[in-house]
Formats: sequence, C-alpha cells, structure tokens
Amino acid sequence: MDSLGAVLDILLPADDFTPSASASGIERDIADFVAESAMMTRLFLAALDWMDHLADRPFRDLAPSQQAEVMAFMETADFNAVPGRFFHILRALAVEFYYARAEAVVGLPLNATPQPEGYPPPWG
Amino acid sequence: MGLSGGHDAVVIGSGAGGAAAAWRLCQHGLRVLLLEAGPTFDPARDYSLDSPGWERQGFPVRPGSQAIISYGDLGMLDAGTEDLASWSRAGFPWRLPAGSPRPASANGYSHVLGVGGSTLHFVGEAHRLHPDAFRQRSLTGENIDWPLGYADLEPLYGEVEGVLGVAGATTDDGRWRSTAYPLPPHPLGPGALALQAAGARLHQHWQVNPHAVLSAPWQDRPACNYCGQCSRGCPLGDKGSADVTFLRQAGDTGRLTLVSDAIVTRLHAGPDGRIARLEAIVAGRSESVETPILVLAAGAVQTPRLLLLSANSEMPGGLANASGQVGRNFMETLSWRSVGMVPGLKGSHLGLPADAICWSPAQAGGRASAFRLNHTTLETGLNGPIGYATRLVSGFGETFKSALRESFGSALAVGAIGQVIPDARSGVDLDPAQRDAQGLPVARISSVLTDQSLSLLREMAKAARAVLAEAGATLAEEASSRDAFTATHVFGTARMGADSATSVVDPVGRSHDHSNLWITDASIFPTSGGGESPSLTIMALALRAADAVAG
Ligand SMILES: Cc1cc2nc3c(=O)[nH]c(=O)nc-3n(C[C@H](O)[C@H](O)[C@H](O)COP(=O)(O)OP(=O)(O)OC[C@H]3O[C@@H](n4cnc5c(N)ncnc54)[C@H](O)[C@@H]3O)c2cc1C
Ligand code: SF4
Repeated sequence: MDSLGAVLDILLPADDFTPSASASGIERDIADFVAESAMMTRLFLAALDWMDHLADRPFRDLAPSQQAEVMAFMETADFNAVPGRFFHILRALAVEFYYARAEAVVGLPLNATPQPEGYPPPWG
Repeated sequence: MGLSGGHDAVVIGSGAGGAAAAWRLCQHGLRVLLLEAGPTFDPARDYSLDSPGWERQGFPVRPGSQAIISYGDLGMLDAGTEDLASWSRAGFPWRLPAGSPRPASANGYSHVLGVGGSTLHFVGEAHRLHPDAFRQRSLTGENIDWPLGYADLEPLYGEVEGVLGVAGATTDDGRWRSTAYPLPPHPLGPGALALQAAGARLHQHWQVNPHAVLSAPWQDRPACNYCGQCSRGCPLGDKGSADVTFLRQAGDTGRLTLVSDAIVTRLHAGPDGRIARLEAIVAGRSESVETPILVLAAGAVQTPRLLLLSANSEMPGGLANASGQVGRNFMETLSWRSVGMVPGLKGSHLGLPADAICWSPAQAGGRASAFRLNHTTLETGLNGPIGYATRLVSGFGETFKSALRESFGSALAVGAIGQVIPDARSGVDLDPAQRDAQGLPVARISSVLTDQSLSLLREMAKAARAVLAEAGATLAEEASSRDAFTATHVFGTARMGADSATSVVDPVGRSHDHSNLWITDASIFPTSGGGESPSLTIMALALRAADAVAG
C-alpha cells in the first residue's frame, strides 16, 4: 500500500482553504477500513500493484502530471475491471473520510457541526 | 417483579399509533402498561450532531434498536422501464441490468425499534389524508373505500396537531379544517422559494408543508433552530416525535407504565375468543402478562408478524385472521427523486427539511391527486459536502475541490410520493428459514410494483423534472422505487373494513375475531392515500380507537 498516500493526494490535494488528504490523516482511516474486508484488500493490492508497474518507477515517484494522467484514465475505465473499480471505490472512501473532518469544511458556507447553533433564518 | 395486575389495558409498541392510543387511554382514566421492544434514546447523548463527522452517521443504532427483516419477491427490473433507472453524476458508473431481481435499498425497511418508534427518525411532515382518499372506490372505481370518512377524523386531526405542535399555513388543497394550525408556518428556505417561483409558471402550486416541528416555543419544548437533520434524531426535542409529545404527556397523568426492551413474542386467545395474555421477553427475562384490553401497535410489519407467530391449533392461520387478510395488501412507499444543479442558486442546504409541498402537481387543485411533490434537498442529504462529493460533483484534484465549493448550496431536489395499489404478491409473512435472537421466524416482506405503479412513477418523474427544468436546473441524480424497494411509509397488513370476510379490524380498529383486541398502527390503512405522510392519520385513528375502548 506504499503508493496509497500519493494516490490520495492526487484525488484531494492541498489548496488555499484545505489540507491535502495525507495531511488530514485519512490514509490511516482508509487502510483500517480496507483491512476489514479480504475482498477490498485484494482489490486495493491489485490496483496499487498495477499502478506501480505502469512505468519504470512506482506511482508515487511519477511526475504529478503523469500521476494525474493515470488517474484520469482510471476515472473513465471499465467499472468491471480493477483500475476503474478501484478509482471509484477509493474516491468514494476518500471524500467520505476527508469531508468528515472539520478542517475540510473550511471555505464552505457551513458550521463545523449542525448543532448547537443550527442555521436560523434569515437565509437570503 | 411481574408486570401483571396493575393495569387496565396493555399497549404493544410506542410509535405513532401506540403512543397516541396510550395517551388517550390514560386521559380516559385507564391504567396503561406500554410494552416497547426497543430501547429508550436520550437525545442529548444519542443524536450526535455536535461533532465533526456527523454526515457519516445515520440515526444511531443501539442494542435492540433494529429488527431483522428478510425479503421475498420484490419484483424484477424491467427493460421497459429503463427510462426510470437511477443514476447520479458522481456515483458509481454501474447499475443492475434489466432482468435482475429488484433489491431492497440500503435502508430497505429499517424502522427503528425504540421508545417513540419510527417517529424518532421521521421528518415531521404532518399531513391529513385528502377527503377523496377515503372514497377511492366510489370516486374512481379502483381499489377500496375506507369504512369512515374525512369528517370522522377531522376533529381528531385537530387534537393531534395540538399535541404535536404542528406549524402550517393554509388549507391544504381540499383538506378542510375546523381549527387553525396551533403554530405559525416555518419560513421557506432558498431551495423551496426557487421551486415555488418555477412551479407558479407551470401551474404547480408549491406551498408551506405542514410540520410537526415547532416554529416557536410550545409547551415545554423549544423552537427549531433549523439544523436540518431531522431524520438523524432531533437533539432539541422541538420535533414532535412520540416520545416528547404523547408519551411525555401520558406519563404526566401518572397512569402510564412504560417498559422498554420488552419484546412481545406471542399472544394467547382464551376460550371466549378474547386475548387472555401475552408473552414477552423483558430485559432478557420471560414474562406472561394479562391483557384485559390489548392495543396492538407494532407497525405494519411487526403487527402481522406477531399475529402470525401466535397461531395455535384452533387458529392455524394466526390470530385475528379468520379473513385470511393478515399480512396481505402490503403497500410500500412509491417514491421518486430528481436532483438538479441550478447555476446562481445559493443556500439550498438551508431551511427545514421538506419545507415545501405541491399537493396536485398534475391537475388543478381541490381533487385528490395520486401523488405529491416536495422539496427534498435537505431530507435527501444534500446539506453537507459528503453528499455533494459522492453524488453530484465528479472528478478529482484541485478542480474538483473548487467545483464542490462553488456549487455547494445550488443543488435542488424534488421528491415525489405516490399512491400504491397492492399487488396480490405483496405481503408480510414468516420467513421459513431465518430466525431472530429469540429463535422466532423473522418477518419477510414481498412487494412487487404493478404496471399501474410504474406508470404513476413515470408521471411523478415527469412532474419533478418539469419543475426542475423550469427552475433552470441541469439534472445530476435520479433515484426511485423502480430500482430498489423503499419503505418509509408502509400500510395495509391488517386492514380495516366493515366486512369481516375481507378485513382484519372493524371501522374503529377492533378485531373482528377477538373482542378485546384493537389495532392502532399503519397496518389498518385500507389504502395508501396519494402520498400523504401517514403519522397524523395513524394518530387520529388511534385516538378514535381509544375513545371506543373507553366506551
Ligand atoms: C426516515 C423516515 C421518515 C419519515 N418521515 C415521515 C414524516 O415526515 N411524516 C410522517 O407522517 N411519517 C413519516 N414517516 C413514517 C412514520 O414514521 C411511520 O409511518 C409511523 O411512525 C408508523 O407508525 P406505527 O405506529 O405504525 O409504527 P412505528 O412508529 O414504527 O411503531 C411501532 C413500534 O412498535 C415496536 N414494536 C415492534 N414490534 C414489537 C414487539 N414485538 N413488541 C413490542 N414492541 C414492538 C417498535 O419498536 C416501534 O416502537 C417516516 C418514516 C421514516 C422511516
Ligand atoms: S431541523 Fe429542527 S426539528 Fe429538525 S433536527 Fe434540527 S432542530 Fe430538530
């Protein structure tokens, strides 16, 4: 799973408001989640191995533009084959764990939590 | 300590129907023992809406708060209805092919077991059934009539609204009222206002949706602060769930004994046909409880199960089942949802969930419609970034993150719920193989959509898409009952009627077969109505039954 952090940072890089996926610590959440299912672990190992053997060096050592190119290919790849399925499952997990963190909500018109303030009117 | 002896009536289930019946019986001076299978939830402790990660949590699960349910025939996905197939812009690019069995949705039938029942996670829409809904056979030649009319329930609706603290605005499309709503209407949020404006151009009349949610402090409860999370459990207690309304007020009479974690497993009929006693597992111990009067309100799935589980050599088809109708006529929730993105719309994540309704989307107002629309952006979870990222905004990288920020608050969702005419294959029976922790067969739900339901679904889709298009939305997600069984509103499995050959209970909810058995939950609805949310009607019927019990 050595390239997982790099893959996550291509999905969710740092920007002016929010940290990168790896800085937010979601790599551990995802690794723990995946470890609970043998099928999911097999998918992750197969996909990351495939990504690490696309060039003469592992995915994490590719140039950012090359990494983004690989991810763009995976996004539109067949969902019934490993690259496509892995992309969509990883993306779903990544955004779920990431946007569950208070620091990821910065820049959105939201409180960190719905209570105790709520959102009293006016809303215009 | 045994539970027998100190009560005049036993109520099974503390949800919408059981809580209302218990309250009314206490008011009549009866001492009531209320047995509830699930635990008590503590809003402050259990509804964690004040810590990050709230969007990942649904309504909390506590030991004993979820029943095991199995599914039988849910029908097949038909190639001819692919135009109704679910999809979402940022979801998985895959769907079940036509010819596959229709699955249960992720939630399927997942009504919480707990003190307050399904009202703990309801959204609080507080609807009266349209007067025409009681006379569907007479008016259209379809389905059946109720053995009572709107006028019989009207004063009771008003009483229920007073206990819950319903906030509303106007007469609701033919649902006449003799009393005003107790509380002023909630303001419409930005999403609802956008639909109201677009709808007006299409002759769709969008208006404030009446809610059992406090728009101002009421009795001992505070006003809503619009956190938008009603189906995750309301931490303030302003939502009129049964625990903070009927049950609290019944407790104040001093005549209610409420026992949670008390799973009723069997009813016993005596030689005179009356239900003599019941068996329950109370906090792990077996109890036998006398039932001078028994009110059964375990919901439209567990009520038929309990009657079927109580079969004996004289009544091999189960109790209260001389008609053979127990478990039959099951009606699921026929639902549709279209979501669009509206450039320039801001703040659609703000307001009260389901704040606006359109009663008659496909015809002029006044007559009953077969379905209704509502504003469902918040209810469907598009009020947090995870909802947007997993369903509406695709892509990755910086472009994705900034697209999410820019579009947040511009999603607009329209939901539709429609009438269901039960299919002969639909029903609740006992699973021949699967058992629960007590070793008893679990309830098995079969529910097949008729061609009529599927064509109504197409009408619902058309009306939802039309108002979104008029609002300037580009569609980003659609989902419906076509692809998955859903069951927030379920009915019909112990239906009421005047004829004991075709119904389980009489027009006031009393069993045709057992003179001291009354049923006061959603199972007694003969028909579903045209998409109205049912709790107000369940409660009004429960008051009516309790009045009849007390004579
Ligand atoms: C997510 C969601 C949103 C909803 N939104 C709305 C809405 O906005 N407006 C509306 O009107 N309706 C809404 N509904 C529907 C509404 O909540 C139900 O229709 C209503 O609560 C049903 O009432 P009931 O009395 O039939 O059953 P319930 O409220 O489900 O009560 C049944 C009770 O019986 C108990 N029980 C079951 N078996 C046993 C047993 N063997 N022994 C003892 N106790 C038992 C259960 O634990 C439960 O407490 C919603 C439902 C859901 C799930
Ligand atoms: S929106 Fe209002 S009723 Fe709903 S959970 Fe929040 S405070 Fe309670």
